[in-house]
Amino acid sequence: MADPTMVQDRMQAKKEVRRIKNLPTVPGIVAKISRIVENPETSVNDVGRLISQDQVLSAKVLRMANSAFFGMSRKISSISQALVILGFEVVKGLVLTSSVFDMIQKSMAGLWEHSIGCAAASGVIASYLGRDDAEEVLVAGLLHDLGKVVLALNLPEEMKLVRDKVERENLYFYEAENLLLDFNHAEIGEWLAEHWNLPESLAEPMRLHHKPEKAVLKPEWTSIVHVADVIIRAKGFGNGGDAMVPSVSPAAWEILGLKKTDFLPILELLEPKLNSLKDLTALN
Amino acid sequence: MAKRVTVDKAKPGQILAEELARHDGVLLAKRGSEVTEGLLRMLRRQNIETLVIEEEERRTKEEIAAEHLANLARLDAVFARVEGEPVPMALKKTLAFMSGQERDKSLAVLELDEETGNGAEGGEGEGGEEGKESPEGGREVGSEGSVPGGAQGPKGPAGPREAPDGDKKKPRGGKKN
Repeated sequence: MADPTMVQDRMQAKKEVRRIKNLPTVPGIVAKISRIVENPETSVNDVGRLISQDQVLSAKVLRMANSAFFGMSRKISSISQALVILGFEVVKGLVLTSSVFDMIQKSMAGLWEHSIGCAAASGVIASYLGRDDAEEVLVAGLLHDLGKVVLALNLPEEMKLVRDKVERENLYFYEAENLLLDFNHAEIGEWLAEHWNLPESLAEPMRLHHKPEKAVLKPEWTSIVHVADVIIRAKGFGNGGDAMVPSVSPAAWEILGLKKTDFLPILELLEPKLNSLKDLTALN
Repeated sequence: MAKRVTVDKAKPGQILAEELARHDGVLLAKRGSEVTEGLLRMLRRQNIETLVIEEEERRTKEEIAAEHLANLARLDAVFARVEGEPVPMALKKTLAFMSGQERDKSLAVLELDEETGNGAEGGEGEGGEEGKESPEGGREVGSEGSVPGGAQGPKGPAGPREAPDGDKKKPRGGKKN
Protein backbone atom coordinates (compact mmCIF):
# COMPACT_ATOMS: atom_id res chain seq x y z
CA MET A 1 0.00 0.00 0.00
CA ALA A 2 1.48 3.32 -0.97
CA ASP A 3 2.43 5.61 1.87
CA PRO A 4 -0.12 8.47 1.74
CA THR A 5 2.49 11.18 2.25
CA MET A 6 4.55 9.80 -0.61
CA VAL A 7 1.53 9.85 -2.85
CA GLN A 8 0.85 13.43 -1.77
CA ASP A 9 4.39 14.48 -2.57
CA ARG A 10 4.29 12.84 -5.94
CA MET A 11 1.04 14.55 -6.75
CA GLN A 12 2.44 17.84 -5.60
CA ALA A 13 5.53 17.43 -7.72
CA LYS A 14 3.49 16.48 -10.73
CA LYS A 15 1.35 19.50 -10.19
CA GLU A 16 4.35 21.77 -10.07
CA VAL A 17 5.83 20.40 -13.24
CA ARG A 18 2.59 20.67 -15.11
CA ARG A 19 2.05 24.09 -13.80
CA ILE A 20 5.30 25.43 -15.12
CA LYS A 21 5.07 23.60 -18.40
CA ASN A 22 1.59 24.81 -19.00
CA LEU A 23 1.75 28.51 -18.41
CA PRO A 24 1.87 30.59 -21.53
CA THR A 25 4.81 32.92 -22.03
CA VAL A 26 4.26 36.52 -21.19
CA PRO A 27 3.35 38.61 -24.22
CA GLY A 28 6.46 40.28 -25.62
CA ILE A 29 5.23 43.81 -25.23
CA VAL A 30 4.33 43.28 -21.59
CA ALA A 31 7.79 41.94 -20.85
CA LYS A 32 9.39 44.82 -22.73
CA ILE A 33 7.42 47.38 -20.80
CA SER A 34 8.31 45.76 -17.49
CA ARG A 35 11.96 45.85 -18.49
CA ILE A 36 12.21 49.44 -19.56
CA VAL A 37 10.18 50.59 -16.59
CA GLU A 38 12.82 49.13 -14.28
CA ASN A 39 15.13 51.82 -15.55
CA PRO A 40 14.43 54.98 -13.55
CA GLU A 41 15.37 57.10 -16.55
CA THR A 42 12.50 55.74 -18.59
CA SER A 43 9.83 58.34 -19.20
CA VAL A 44 6.18 57.83 -19.89
CA ASN A 45 6.86 58.99 -23.42
CA ASP A 46 9.37 56.20 -23.87
CA VAL A 47 6.72 53.68 -22.94
CA GLY A 48 4.26 55.38 -25.25
CA ARG A 49 6.68 55.13 -28.13
CA LEU A 50 7.33 51.49 -27.42
CA ILE A 51 3.65 50.63 -27.48
CA SER A 52 2.98 52.72 -30.58
CA GLN A 53 5.49 50.68 -32.52
CA ASP A 54 3.00 47.85 -32.56
CA GLN A 55 0.23 49.27 -34.65
CA VAL A 56 -2.16 46.38 -34.35
CA LEU A 57 -1.81 46.37 -30.60
CA SER A 58 -2.13 50.13 -30.39
CA ALA A 59 -5.31 50.05 -32.41
CA LYS A 60 -6.84 47.61 -29.95
CA VAL A 61 -5.72 49.70 -27.00
CA LEU A 62 -7.24 52.83 -28.50
CA ARG A 63 -10.51 51.09 -29.25
CA MET A 64 -10.82 50.13 -25.65
CA ALA A 65 -9.69 53.54 -24.48
CA ASN A 66 -12.47 55.09 -26.55
CA SER A 67 -15.13 52.62 -25.55
CA ALA A 68 -17.98 53.00 -23.10
CA PHE A 69 -15.70 51.69 -20.38
CA PHE A 70 -14.32 55.12 -19.83
CA GLY A 71 -17.07 57.31 -21.22
CA MET A 72 -14.63 59.97 -22.38
CA SER A 73 -16.20 62.96 -24.05
CA ARG A 74 -13.23 63.50 -26.33
CA LYS A 75 -11.74 60.93 -28.59
CA ILE A 76 -8.35 59.56 -27.56
CA SER A 77 -6.34 59.37 -30.73
CA SER A 78 -2.89 58.32 -29.64
CA ILE A 79 -1.15 56.20 -27.09
CA SER A 80 0.53 59.22 -25.56
CA GLN A 81 -2.83 60.88 -25.16
CA ALA A 82 -4.18 57.73 -23.56
CA LEU A 83 -1.28 57.75 -21.14
CA VAL A 84 -2.03 61.32 -20.14
CA ILE A 85 -5.78 60.90 -19.83
CA LEU A 86 -6.08 57.39 -18.44
CA GLY A 87 -2.74 57.04 -16.71
CA PHE A 88 0.09 54.62 -16.97
CA GLU A 89 -1.40 51.72 -15.00
CA VAL A 90 -4.62 51.71 -16.98
CA VAL A 91 -2.83 51.85 -20.32
CA LYS A 92 -0.54 49.04 -19.22
CA GLY A 93 -3.61 47.06 -18.33
CA LEU A 94 -5.17 47.73 -21.72
CA VAL A 95 -1.95 46.68 -23.42
CA LEU A 96 -2.01 43.45 -21.47
CA THR A 97 -5.65 42.90 -22.32
CA SER A 98 -5.05 43.58 -26.00
CA SER A 99 -2.16 41.14 -26.01
CA VAL A 100 -4.24 38.35 -24.60
CA PHE A 101 -7.44 39.18 -26.38
CA ASP A 102 -6.98 36.44 -28.96
CA MET A 103 -6.28 33.93 -26.23
CA ILE A 104 -9.41 34.91 -24.35
CA GLN A 105 -11.59 34.67 -27.41
CA LYS A 106 -10.24 31.27 -28.30
CA SER A 107 -10.53 29.87 -24.83
CA MET A 108 -14.24 29.76 -24.21
CA ALA A 109 -17.22 31.20 -26.03
CA GLY A 110 -18.63 34.10 -24.09
CA LEU A 111 -15.65 34.54 -21.78
CA TRP A 112 -14.53 37.76 -23.44
CA GLU A 113 -18.04 39.18 -23.09
CA HIS A 114 -18.13 38.07 -19.47
CA SER A 115 -14.79 39.80 -18.91
CA ILE A 116 -15.80 43.09 -20.46
CA GLY A 117 -19.08 42.91 -18.59
CA CYS A 118 -17.25 42.38 -15.34
CA ALA A 119 -14.92 45.24 -16.20
CA ALA A 120 -17.82 47.58 -16.91
CA ALA A 121 -19.59 46.57 -13.72
CA SER A 122 -16.40 47.00 -11.70
CA GLY A 123 -15.95 50.49 -13.10
CA VAL A 124 -19.56 51.41 -12.40
CA ILE A 125 -19.44 50.15 -8.82
CA ALA A 126 -16.15 51.91 -8.16
CA SER A 127 -17.46 55.24 -9.51
CA TYR A 128 -20.72 54.79 -7.67
CA LEU A 129 -18.75 54.41 -4.47
CA GLY A 130 -16.99 57.67 -5.25
CA ARG A 131 -13.60 56.14 -5.88
CA ASP A 132 -11.14 57.94 -8.13
CA ASP A 133 -9.44 54.75 -9.29
CA ALA A 134 -12.46 53.36 -11.12
CA GLU A 135 -10.51 52.90 -14.34
CA GLU A 136 -7.90 50.76 -12.64
CA VAL A 137 -10.47 48.59 -10.93
CA LEU A 138 -12.06 48.20 -14.32
CA VAL A 139 -8.84 46.72 -15.67
CA ALA A 140 -8.73 44.28 -12.78
CA GLY A 141 -12.24 43.23 -13.75
CA LEU A 142 -11.15 42.71 -17.34
CA LEU A 143 -8.40 40.33 -16.38
CA HIS A 144 -9.87 38.51 -13.38
CA ASP A 145 -10.57 35.27 -15.24
CA LEU A 146 -7.25 34.86 -17.04
CA GLY A 147 -6.76 31.66 -15.09
CA LYS A 148 -9.72 30.17 -16.94
CA VAL A 149 -8.15 31.17 -20.23
CA VAL A 150 -4.99 29.28 -19.38
CA LEU A 151 -6.98 26.28 -18.25
CA ALA A 152 -8.95 26.22 -21.47
CA LEU A 153 -5.98 26.64 -23.78
CA ASN A 154 -3.28 24.69 -22.02
CA LEU A 155 -5.24 21.99 -20.24
CA PRO A 156 -8.11 21.37 -22.62
CA GLU A 157 -8.98 17.88 -21.41
CA GLU A 158 -9.22 19.08 -17.87
CA MET A 159 -11.33 21.99 -19.06
CA LYS A 160 -13.74 19.67 -20.80
CA LEU A 161 -14.12 17.49 -17.72
CA VAL A 162 -14.86 20.53 -15.63
CA ARG A 163 -17.42 21.92 -18.04
CA ASP A 164 -19.18 18.61 -18.36
CA LYS A 165 -19.42 18.27 -14.62
CA VAL A 166 -20.68 21.82 -14.26
CA GLU A 167 -23.44 21.10 -16.72
CA ARG A 168 -24.41 17.71 -15.37
CA GLU A 169 -24.56 18.72 -11.75
CA ASN A 170 -25.35 22.43 -11.95
CA LEU A 171 -22.19 23.34 -10.11
CA TYR A 172 -20.20 26.50 -10.00
CA PHE A 173 -17.12 26.38 -12.17
CA TYR A 174 -14.73 26.56 -9.24
CA GLU A 175 -16.67 23.81 -7.43
CA ALA A 176 -16.21 21.44 -10.32
CA GLU A 177 -12.55 22.43 -10.56
CA ASN A 178 -12.00 21.74 -6.90
CA LEU A 179 -13.68 18.36 -7.18
CA LEU A 180 -11.86 17.24 -10.31
CA LEU A 181 -8.50 18.98 -10.30
CA ASP A 182 -5.81 19.75 -7.78
CA PHE A 183 -6.19 23.43 -8.51
CA ASN A 184 -8.67 25.96 -9.81
CA HIS A 185 -8.59 28.93 -12.13
CA ALA A 186 -7.97 31.34 -9.28
CA GLU A 187 -4.74 29.54 -8.43
CA ILE A 188 -3.78 29.34 -12.06
CA GLY A 189 -4.36 33.07 -12.20
CA GLU A 190 -2.01 33.44 -9.28
CA TRP A 191 0.70 31.41 -11.00
CA LEU A 192 0.23 33.34 -14.18
CA ALA A 193 0.48 36.67 -12.42
CA GLU A 194 3.72 35.53 -10.85
CA HIS A 195 5.10 34.14 -14.09
CA TRP A 196 4.23 37.31 -15.97
CA ASN A 197 5.34 39.61 -13.22
CA LEU A 198 2.00 41.30 -12.94
CA PRO A 199 1.48 43.82 -10.17
CA GLU A 200 -0.12 42.51 -7.02
CA SER A 201 -2.97 44.94 -7.56
CA LEU A 202 -4.02 42.84 -10.55
CA ALA A 203 -2.90 39.52 -9.14
CA GLU A 204 -4.98 39.78 -6.01
CA PRO A 205 -8.35 40.11 -7.76
CA MET A 206 -7.31 37.34 -10.14
CA ARG A 207 -6.51 35.10 -7.23
CA LEU A 208 -9.21 36.03 -4.76
CA HIS A 209 -12.31 37.16 -6.59
CA HIS A 210 -14.10 34.10 -5.19
CA LYS A 211 -12.68 34.65 -1.72
CA PRO A 212 -12.47 38.41 -1.40
CA GLU A 213 -12.38 38.23 2.38
CA LYS A 214 -8.79 36.99 2.07
CA ALA A 215 -7.56 40.01 0.15
CA VAL A 216 -4.87 41.95 1.91
CA LEU A 217 -3.39 44.50 -0.45
CA LYS A 218 -6.47 45.60 -2.34
CA PRO A 219 -9.49 44.32 -0.43
CA GLU A 220 -11.75 46.94 -1.98
CA TRP A 221 -10.69 46.21 -5.54
CA THR A 222 -11.08 42.50 -5.00
CA SER A 223 -14.46 43.00 -3.40
CA ILE A 224 -15.63 45.20 -6.24
CA VAL A 225 -14.55 42.65 -8.84
CA HIS A 226 -16.28 39.96 -6.78
CA VAL A 227 -19.58 41.82 -6.69
CA ALA A 228 -19.25 42.83 -10.34
CA ASP A 229 -18.78 39.17 -11.24
CA VAL A 230 -21.98 38.21 -9.42
CA ILE A 231 -23.94 41.00 -11.11
CA ILE A 232 -22.74 40.13 -14.58
CA ARG A 233 -23.62 36.48 -14.09
CA ALA A 234 -27.03 37.43 -12.78
CA LYS A 235 -27.63 39.47 -15.92
CA GLY A 236 -26.48 36.61 -18.09
CA PHE A 237 -24.05 38.85 -19.97
CA GLY A 238 -21.45 36.63 -21.57
CA ASN A 239 -20.44 33.27 -20.16
CA GLY A 240 -18.25 32.75 -17.13
CA GLY A 241 -18.33 28.97 -17.37
CA ASP A 242 -21.37 28.22 -15.30
CA ALA A 243 -24.98 29.37 -15.19
CA MET A 244 -25.67 29.77 -11.51
CA VAL A 245 -25.39 33.00 -9.58
CA PRO A 246 -22.98 32.64 -6.66
CA SER A 247 -23.27 34.06 -3.16
CA VAL A 248 -22.05 37.52 -2.40
CA SER A 249 -19.33 37.39 0.21
CA PRO A 250 -20.63 39.14 3.33
CA ALA A 251 -17.12 40.44 3.99
CA ALA A 252 -16.95 42.00 0.54
CA TRP A 253 -20.35 43.56 0.99
CA GLU A 254 -19.30 45.08 4.27
CA ILE A 255 -15.91 46.26 3.05
CA LEU A 256 -17.62 48.22 0.32
CA GLY A 257 -20.40 49.54 2.53
CA LEU A 258 -23.04 48.72 -0.05
CA LYS A 259 -26.74 48.46 0.66
CA LYS A 260 -29.34 46.30 -1.03
CA THR A 261 -30.96 49.43 -2.39
CA ASP A 262 -27.73 50.25 -4.23
CA PHE A 263 -28.37 47.52 -6.78
CA LEU A 264 -30.95 49.53 -8.67
CA PRO A 265 -28.86 52.65 -9.35
CA ILE A 266 -25.82 50.50 -10.12
CA LEU A 267 -27.73 48.39 -12.61
CA GLU A 268 -29.25 51.46 -14.20
CA LEU A 269 -25.81 52.96 -14.71
CA LEU A 270 -24.51 49.68 -16.04
CA GLU A 271 -27.22 49.00 -18.61
CA PRO A 272 -26.30 51.62 -21.24
CA LYS A 273 -22.62 50.78 -20.88
CA LEU A 274 -23.25 47.14 -21.59
CA ASN A 275 -25.27 48.06 -24.64
CA SER A 276 -22.47 50.25 -25.96
CA LEU A 277 -19.87 47.63 -25.23
CA LYS A 278 -21.36 45.16 -27.63
CA ASP A 279 -19.16 47.02 -30.10
CA LEU A 280 -16.13 45.62 -28.36
CA THR A 281 -17.03 42.00 -28.85
CA ALA A 282 -14.94 42.06 -32.01
CA LEU A 283 -11.84 43.89 -30.92
CA ASN A 284 -9.83 43.38 -34.08
CA MET B 1 -36.18 41.34 -44.35
CA ALA B 2 -33.39 43.91 -44.67
CA LYS B 3 -33.58 47.64 -45.06
CA ARG B 4 -30.95 50.23 -45.92
CA VAL B 5 -31.06 53.28 -43.68
CA THR B 6 -28.92 56.34 -43.26
CA VAL B 7 -26.69 56.56 -40.25
CA ASP B 8 -28.89 59.33 -38.88
CA LYS B 9 -31.97 57.18 -39.00
CA ALA B 10 -30.33 54.10 -37.59
CA LYS B 11 -30.93 53.35 -33.94
CA PRO B 12 -28.98 51.45 -31.30
CA GLY B 13 -30.41 48.00 -30.84
CA GLN B 14 -31.07 47.38 -34.49
CA ILE B 15 -29.30 44.43 -36.04
CA LEU B 16 -27.01 44.62 -39.03
CA ALA B 17 -28.27 42.62 -41.95
CA GLU B 18 -25.00 43.02 -43.80
CA GLU B 19 -21.45 43.42 -42.64
CA LEU B 20 -20.03 46.92 -42.57
CA ALA B 21 -16.64 47.69 -44.01
CA ARG B 22 -14.58 50.81 -44.19
CA HIS B 23 -13.88 52.46 -47.50
CA ASP B 24 -10.58 50.62 -47.63
CA GLY B 25 -12.19 47.30 -46.98
CA VAL B 26 -11.38 46.88 -43.31
CA LEU B 27 -14.24 45.15 -41.56
CA LEU B 28 -16.02 47.34 -39.04
CA ALA B 29 -18.89 45.20 -37.87
CA LYS B 30 -20.10 41.73 -38.61
CA ARG B 31 -23.44 40.85 -40.01
CA GLY B 32 -25.82 40.09 -37.21
CA SER B 33 -24.14 42.39 -34.73
CA GLU B 34 -26.04 45.06 -32.93
CA VAL B 35 -25.98 48.73 -33.82
CA THR B 36 -24.62 50.80 -30.96
CA GLU B 37 -23.95 54.49 -30.38
CA GLY B 38 -20.27 53.78 -30.69
CA LEU B 39 -20.73 52.16 -34.06
CA LEU B 40 -22.83 55.04 -35.36
CA ARG B 41 -20.23 57.55 -34.18
CA MET B 42 -17.54 55.58 -35.90
CA LEU B 43 -19.52 55.42 -39.13
CA ARG B 44 -19.93 59.17 -39.10
CA ARG B 45 -16.22 59.65 -38.53
CA GLN B 46 -15.50 57.30 -41.41
CA ASN B 47 -17.97 59.14 -43.62
CA ILE B 48 -20.03 56.06 -44.12
CA GLU B 49 -23.57 57.12 -44.79
CA THR B 50 -25.78 54.09 -44.78
CA LEU B 51 -26.07 50.66 -43.32
CA VAL B 52 -28.36 47.74 -43.86
CA ILE B 53 -30.40 46.63 -40.88
CA GLU B 54 -32.82 43.87 -40.19
CA GLU B 55 -36.37 45.07 -40.38
CA GLU B 56 -37.72 44.34 -36.96
CA GLU B 57 -41.03 42.69 -36.55
CA ARG B 58 -43.01 44.75 -34.16
CA ARG B 59 -43.58 42.76 -31.04
CA THR B 60 -47.10 42.12 -29.96
CA LYS B 61 -48.41 42.66 -26.48
CA GLU B 62 -48.24 38.95 -25.94
CA GLU B 63 -44.61 38.76 -27.00
CA ILE B 64 -43.62 41.63 -24.76
CA ALA B 65 -45.35 40.04 -21.81
CA ALA B 66 -43.87 36.66 -22.63
CA GLU B 67 -40.36 38.09 -22.71
CA HIS B 68 -40.79 39.44 -19.21
CA LEU B 69 -42.07 36.10 -17.97
CA ALA B 70 -39.15 34.36 -19.59
CA ASN B 71 -36.81 36.76 -17.78
CA LEU B 72 -38.47 35.93 -14.47
CA ALA B 73 -38.17 32.23 -15.16
CA ARG B 74 -34.52 32.63 -15.97
CA LEU B 75 -33.93 34.55 -12.76
CA ASP B 76 -35.62 31.82 -10.77
CA ALA B 77 -33.41 29.23 -12.38
CA VAL B 78 -30.07 30.97 -12.01
CA PHE B 79 -30.66 32.20 -8.50
CA ALA B 80 -31.80 28.80 -7.28
CA ARG B 81 -28.65 28.09 -5.32
CA VAL B 82 -28.78 31.31 -3.36
CA GLU B 83 -32.45 31.29 -2.44
CA GLY B 84 -32.91 32.95 0.90
CA GLU B 85 -29.62 34.82 0.93
CA PRO B 86 -30.56 38.45 1.45
CA VAL B 87 -28.06 40.18 -0.81
CA PRO B 88 -28.43 37.93 -3.87
CA MET B 89 -32.18 37.98 -3.40
CA ALA B 90 -32.10 41.76 -3.45
CA LEU B 91 -30.19 41.58 -6.74
CA LYS B 92 -32.75 39.15 -8.12
CA LYS B 93 -35.64 41.38 -7.09
CA THR B 94 -33.99 44.38 -8.66
CA LEU B 95 -33.48 42.59 -11.95
CA ALA B 96 -37.06 41.35 -11.90
CA PHE B 97 -38.25 44.87 -11.25
CA MET B 98 -36.21 46.27 -14.13
CA SER B 99 -37.57 43.62 -16.47
CA GLY B 100 -41.09 44.63 -15.49
CA GLN B 101 -40.25 48.26 -16.15
CA GLU B 102 -38.93 47.35 -19.57
CA ARG B 103 -42.12 45.47 -20.29
CA ASP B 104 -44.28 48.38 -19.17
CA LYS B 105 -42.27 50.76 -21.29
CA SER B 106 -42.58 48.57 -24.37
CA LEU B 107 -46.30 48.14 -23.84
CA ALA B 108 -46.78 51.87 -23.44
CA VAL B 109 -44.85 52.58 -26.60
CA LEU B 110 -46.91 49.99 -28.42
CA GLU B 111 -50.10 51.63 -27.25
CA LEU B 112 -48.95 55.09 -28.24
CA ASP B 113 -48.01 53.88 -31.68
CA GLU B 114 -51.34 52.20 -32.12
CA GLU B 115 -53.15 55.30 -30.96
CA THR B 116 -51.58 57.61 -33.53
CA GLY B 117 -52.85 55.38 -36.26
CA ASN B 118 -51.33 52.68 -38.36
CA GLY B 119 -50.01 54.42 -41.42
CA ALA B 120 -53.31 55.74 -42.73
CA GLU B 121 -51.60 59.11 -43.09
CA GLY B 122 -48.60 57.78 -44.94
CA GLY B 123 -46.56 60.88 -44.50
CA GLU B 124 -44.22 63.20 -46.27
CA GLY B 125 -41.72 60.45 -46.47
CA GLU B 126 -38.67 62.37 -47.47
CA GLY B 127 -36.77 62.67 -44.25
CA GLY B 128 -39.76 63.92 -42.37
CA GLU B 129 -39.87 63.42 -38.67
CA GLU B 130 -43.52 62.65 -38.34
CA GLY B 131 -45.72 62.76 -35.34
CA LYS B 132 -45.88 59.04 -35.18
CA GLU B 133 -42.27 58.64 -34.40
CA SER B 134 -42.33 56.74 -31.20
CA PRO B 135 -41.08 58.72 -28.22
CA GLU B 136 -38.69 55.99 -27.27
CA GLY B 137 -37.17 55.46 -30.68
CA GLY B 138 -34.99 52.53 -29.98
CA ARG B 139 -36.69 49.38 -31.06
CA GLU B 140 -39.34 50.58 -33.45
CA VAL B 141 -38.05 50.53 -36.96
CA GLY B 142 -41.19 50.61 -38.98
CA SER B 143 -42.39 54.12 -38.36
CA GLU B 144 -39.40 55.94 -39.79
CA GLY B 145 -38.77 57.17 -43.28
CA SER B 146 -42.02 55.93 -44.69
CA VAL B 147 -43.01 55.82 -48.30
CA PRO B 148 -44.66 58.93 -49.63
CA GLY B 149 -48.38 58.52 -49.46
CA GLY B 150 -48.14 54.84 -48.75
CA ALA B 151 -49.81 52.86 -46.04
CA GLN B 152 -46.64 52.32 -44.20
CA GLY B 153 -47.71 50.98 -40.86
CA PRO B 154 -45.25 49.08 -38.82
CA LYS B 155 -46.79 45.83 -39.87
CA GLY B 156 -47.21 46.99 -43.43
CA PRO B 157 -45.67 45.44 -46.47
CA ALA B 158 -41.94 45.65 -46.77
CA GLY B 159 -40.87 49.21 -47.30
CA PRO B 160 -38.59 50.50 -49.99
CA ARG B 161 -34.95 49.87 -49.58
CA GLU B 162 -33.55 53.26 -50.45
CA ALA B 163 -32.80 55.82 -47.84
CA PRO B 164 -35.70 58.22 -47.65
CA ASP B 165 -33.61 61.34 -48.01
CA GLY B 166 -33.63 62.07 -51.69
CA ASP B 167 -31.25 64.97 -51.51
CA LYS B 168 -28.40 63.07 -49.96
CA LYS B 169 -25.89 61.19 -52.02
CA LYS B 170 -26.97 57.88 -53.43
CA PRO B 171 -26.44 55.34 -50.67
CA ARG B 172 -23.43 53.23 -51.17
CA GLY B 173 -23.50 51.62 -47.80
CA GLY B 174 -20.40 50.86 -45.91
CA LYS B 175 -18.68 48.81 -48.53
CA LYS B 176 -15.74 49.80 -50.63
CA ASN B 177 -16.79 51.17 -53.98
